[in-house]
Amino acid sequence: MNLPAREIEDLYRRHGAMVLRRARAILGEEQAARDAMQEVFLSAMRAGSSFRGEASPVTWLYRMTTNHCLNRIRDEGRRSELLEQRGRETDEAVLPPAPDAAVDVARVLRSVPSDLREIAVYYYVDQMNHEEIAEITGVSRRTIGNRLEAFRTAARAALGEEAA
Amino acid sequence: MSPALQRTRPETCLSDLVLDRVLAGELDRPAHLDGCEGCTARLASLEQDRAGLDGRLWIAGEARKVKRRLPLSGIVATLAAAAAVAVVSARVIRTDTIPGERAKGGLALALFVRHGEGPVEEALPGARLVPGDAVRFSLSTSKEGYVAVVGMDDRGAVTLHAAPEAPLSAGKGQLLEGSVVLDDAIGPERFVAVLCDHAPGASRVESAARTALAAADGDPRRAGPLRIDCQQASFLIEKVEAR
Repeated sequence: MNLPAREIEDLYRRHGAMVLRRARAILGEEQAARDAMQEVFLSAMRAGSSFRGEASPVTWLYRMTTNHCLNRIRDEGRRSELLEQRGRETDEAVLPPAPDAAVDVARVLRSVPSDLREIAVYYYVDQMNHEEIAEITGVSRRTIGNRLEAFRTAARAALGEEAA
Repeated sequence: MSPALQRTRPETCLSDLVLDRVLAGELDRPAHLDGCEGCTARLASLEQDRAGLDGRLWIAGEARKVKRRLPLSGIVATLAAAAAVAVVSARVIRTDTIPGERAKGGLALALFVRHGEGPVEEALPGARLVPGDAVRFSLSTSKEGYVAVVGMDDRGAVTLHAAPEAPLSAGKGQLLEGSVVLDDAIGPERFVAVLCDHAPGASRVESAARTALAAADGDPRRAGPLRIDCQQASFLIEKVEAR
């Protein structure tokens, strides 16, 4: 059963700013971030009683926000590929505007393999350590380390930077 | 590496997840903060960010189709409207009462809970609490009036928890004096707050609660509004055994 309206309001009041902040940091674009925030709270509403049973609603919202944002990045990437295949100019809504730190994050995430993105978000955006990332993703610490190294290599290549 | 992909804090410092959980009351304040200016500053920044969210969160409105690209103040209204539609649909399908909070008139009831020596947390409707938890009632009302809070459980017990002699003024989030320690009766319990123009009298409120409970065959989950000429709000919890 869906969460009732009052609970959603309460959830939004308590955690809306946190969700929006992270969505902005990942996507680098205000409207996209607000769309993602809306989708996260809709997901919470539909999760209903299973959301209520969560030991840490904050951690649940972190995972949902990351998933929604990365799905959006993935979908925009596919759209961009389709447009390029058709030989059209890439839509400005797909490519970010003038780069700043937040937009750089989204741009780099688009340019690396999808299995590296989630871990990179938790490490660079949320400043989590390997142990925390392992706990939130269910992946071993060794794999976290390997994927972060792979991410750094792929990101440097995508940005055209020399290896440190 | 791009500045966007450089850590601003060493891995020995606290992540934003930990800091957000501290702010949400999910974690106690870590000792690390006492000796780290960077993490303390980040915590303050996150707290300020929380306070800056658009305050116009709730707009009562008709249910409408969820649209993309809503202004921020419209997002919660849409979510709430969508939830309201879902609740209405559920009422059509099911005959038992929707769990959670129900309000009649301009009165809202919230519960704050303390588990043992832990932090005080706001309970969500339908929350699972344990005997011994201490509960305080918080009322939001659009007008002044005389308040009483009565509880009813599935053993048939009806208990008046609060009936202050002085009227409550209009306002949001007003904590009533004193806390209620939950007894060892396991199962659903519904708290009903009434706001009346005149002091309602304890026996009148208790009698109305017994009538409502009896009409629901002793099930607080299905108990309807009290037959009393006052604004009402109710809050359902589920008491479970302590682990």
